[in-house]
Amino acid sequence: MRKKSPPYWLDWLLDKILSGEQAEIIKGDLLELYKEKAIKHGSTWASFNYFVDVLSLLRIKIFRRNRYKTLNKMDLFFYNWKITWRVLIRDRFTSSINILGLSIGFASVLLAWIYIEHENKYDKFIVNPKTTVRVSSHWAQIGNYAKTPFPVGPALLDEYSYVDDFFRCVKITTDDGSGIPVRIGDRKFFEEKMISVDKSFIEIFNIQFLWGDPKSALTDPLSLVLSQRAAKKYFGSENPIGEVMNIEGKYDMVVTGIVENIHNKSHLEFDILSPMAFMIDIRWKQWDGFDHDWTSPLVWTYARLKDEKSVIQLEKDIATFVVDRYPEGIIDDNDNFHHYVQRVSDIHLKSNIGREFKANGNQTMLVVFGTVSLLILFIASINFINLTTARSTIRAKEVGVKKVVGAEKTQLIRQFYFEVFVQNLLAVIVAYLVLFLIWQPFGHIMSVDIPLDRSTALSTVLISVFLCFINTLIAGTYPAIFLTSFKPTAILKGKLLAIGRGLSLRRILVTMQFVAAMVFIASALIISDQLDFIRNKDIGVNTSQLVEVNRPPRSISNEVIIEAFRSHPNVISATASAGSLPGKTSPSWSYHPQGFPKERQSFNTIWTYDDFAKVFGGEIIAGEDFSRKFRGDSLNAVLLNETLARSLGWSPEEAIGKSFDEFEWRKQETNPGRVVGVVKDFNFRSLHHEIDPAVMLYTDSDFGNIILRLSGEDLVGTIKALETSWDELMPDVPFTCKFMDESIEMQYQKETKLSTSMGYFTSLSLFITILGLIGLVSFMLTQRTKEISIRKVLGAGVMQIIFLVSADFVKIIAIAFVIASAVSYFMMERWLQDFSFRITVGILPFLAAGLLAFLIIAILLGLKSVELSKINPASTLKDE
Amino acid sequence: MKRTNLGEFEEFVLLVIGALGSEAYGVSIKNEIKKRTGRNPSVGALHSALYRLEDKRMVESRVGGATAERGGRRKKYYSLTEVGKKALVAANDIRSELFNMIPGLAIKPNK
Repeated sequence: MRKKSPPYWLDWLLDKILSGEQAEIIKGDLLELYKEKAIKHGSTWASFNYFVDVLSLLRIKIFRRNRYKTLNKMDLFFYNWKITWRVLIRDRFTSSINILGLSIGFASVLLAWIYIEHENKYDKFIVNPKTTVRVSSHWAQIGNYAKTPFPVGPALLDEYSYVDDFFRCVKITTDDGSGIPVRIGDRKFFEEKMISVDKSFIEIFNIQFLWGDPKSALTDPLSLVLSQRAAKKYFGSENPIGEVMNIEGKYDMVVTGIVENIHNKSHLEFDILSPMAFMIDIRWKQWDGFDHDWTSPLVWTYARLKDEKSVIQLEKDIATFVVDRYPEGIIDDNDNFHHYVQRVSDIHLKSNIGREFKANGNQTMLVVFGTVSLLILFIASINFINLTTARSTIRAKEVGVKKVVGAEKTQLIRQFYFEVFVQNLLAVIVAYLVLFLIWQPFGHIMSVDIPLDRSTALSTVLISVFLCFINTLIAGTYPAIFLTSFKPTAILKGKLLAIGRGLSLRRILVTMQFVAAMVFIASALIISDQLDFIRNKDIGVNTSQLVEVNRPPRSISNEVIIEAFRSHPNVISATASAGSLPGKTSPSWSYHPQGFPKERQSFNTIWTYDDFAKVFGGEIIAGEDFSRKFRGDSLNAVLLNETLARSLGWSPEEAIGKSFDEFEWRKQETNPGRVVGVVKDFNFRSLHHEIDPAVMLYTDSDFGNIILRLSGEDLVGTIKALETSWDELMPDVPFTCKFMDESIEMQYQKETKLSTSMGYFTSLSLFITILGLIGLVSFMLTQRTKEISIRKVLGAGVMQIIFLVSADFVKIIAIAFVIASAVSYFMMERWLQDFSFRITVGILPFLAAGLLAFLIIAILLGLKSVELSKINPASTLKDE
Repeated sequence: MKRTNLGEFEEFVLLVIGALGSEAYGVSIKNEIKKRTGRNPSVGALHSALYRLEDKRMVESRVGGATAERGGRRKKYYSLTEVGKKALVAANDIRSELFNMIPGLAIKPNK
């Protein structure tokens, strides 16, 4: 059968393209043509032609809008402006709540964005961050280690053809950041960030020279290159090229260059660069064999590879590097010890292994930040949706009249979107003000220094424009559709059905707001509880009033310094110590305990001196403390902690007198030792960790920092007196000391940052929620004025009415309480798993959050009750 | 001379409208163009040309003449305006003038 009409879907498509009289005429033409074709060539061919013609009409759609309906676009735009402006002014209370809330939300998102972008930019300035890798080590017993033995770098270049270049890097300052003395003329300083690198570092890391020649700057073993920051610190605005700096009181080194700072954009930071030759030819000169020591992780090793493919190749090849390349007889077991590679671009956010160059960034923190800031914006958007739909009764008449006059729904929707967009735009502008206000405090809390460069500024502006549009869609869609859906007949007759329809969604949104706010409150409380717990926990030693005095290694002996310090009346006791102390990193050393097979076992180690337990306030449970009598003993005196004795199967008493040989890596031989005492367990590491086995090794050399226990009286005077004695002993070295409490506090920096920022976020979210509630409550009461008046007439008291109104909110709070408690419980349990010593989550924080929410509502309603009591039924009901 | 801005296709459409007289509407114009030139313009191309000509005030239109083949829809009849006629004359003049200047091709009147 021959079809008489073209396919239905093509007609539908045609309707989308054309409208009005134009449609009628063109459709007529098309149909005529179709029939003609259908008779001549059959309906398939006719349909095809019809289809092609329909498509050809798109050009009319695109280039020629329906001319009979166009209004002046600019007129409409100005009209929208005028109406929007009037609405903003008329509802100034609501619109200022909206704009203020949104601007805080935008500001937090922008801040989080800038922070996240900054953290992600780390090491991207290197020319090829993806083909530059760090070679790290893995020990079966100790785990991953960022450092490698000294000869690994050259061996890599030699072994693999795709390794382009390499450099080694070592800190001259010690890893705990105690610094080395620097003297310029008669001015004394401490430098905490001095490193030695191979020359190729300059090229591989793309270091930019401001002064000096990049090619020759690090040639002489006694040359120095300063960072901009260091140049300012040491020489102010003078040109330091050619100046002499005395390092460690021993080496006179000449400044040959100044380079751009990289401390806030790289995981590898420095203030003074010295050539590797300085270490090889001068500083390590007496140290025999470091350059063929294949077992001590001495330096960080970086390699630049030819291309991305080589990275994958190297990842594969390096697994067997130890067996393939290491001299025979040193390591023949890949499982026990091997190397692996990390892309430099991944280190800052993803790597957290032993002996990192410095504490790296934290990806979790970034995720928390991003999520939390989006949540705050979300809370503000909910306010927006709620307050806008709540005012629908007022807008309803406007919509009704406009519809009667002939406005189409799409036009009205466009008008509402425009209003929302304008409010968002104003909020973005205010957000920049907020951003400038919180910029400094934020940088301080997070201890970041984010340079405001052009690319950051540009991306921030782009993001805020994007947010503005996206949020217009999110916060504007529901109100726009809701407000324009009213039936004009119903509205103008005075039937306001709107409230009932909006209520359920509004309830859900308010509940979500409360959930978010309560999760914030409960989490903040739990985090600060855990921090309090950490700070007040008895860690087995007493660190208050303990002062650590930095001293350069291999200088005057412990005995002399301690003698000098002990003469002060406020110094109770003194010892020297290095290694796994509270607040420090924990190096491991290898031993051979008596009765165990001749395999080396690694334990955390503290090198210490006379009166160790006495100074630290630790308890000796068997044997005796270190003292003068062990000095010069042919057997090294050793203290064990309880856990170690237990893990070796010794009771504290049995342990005494057992042999405990220390393994000397560098000489590949053991020094005989014996156990003289067992110390009660104490937390030498942060409370994230269990108490591991630990060894305290007696050192009578000139090693370690001086630890003093002070009486606590006249601290300032005591420190001053100590400085005077120090200057007599070591006039070249400045006196610096640190309270051990502070070092311990530093271990929980991450948690402290989290806690402080959570505190701020909680206050912000609460503030926005309260803003929204104020708007909503006052609106609800206005809505119910007549109902309340009637109740009053019938004899209800103000309190009864308050209860009536608050019933809604109590339900909402109850639901939010349940959800929020569950969510924050699971989140916080996960967070607490990081700690070996932790609080158990009780019900209190959740109750507090719920109670706070309830109080807020109660106070708001309480304030409103004054207004309620003033309602005069005679005037509110006179129209009925 | 005043520019008329007449495209080649537009010129055809104008000529056809003039030739068809009172019967010039979408389908008849399209069919006539096909018949005379062998080209088969799409409906979209034709109508946008008609709109352009209308914008240039070279054609005017009137609506009417619904038929059953068209599903009861009306036609839009086009006719030349004075401007349109002038444009055609001008285009023709230019063309023949230039054509006559091509040596060896122009048909010279027999002397």
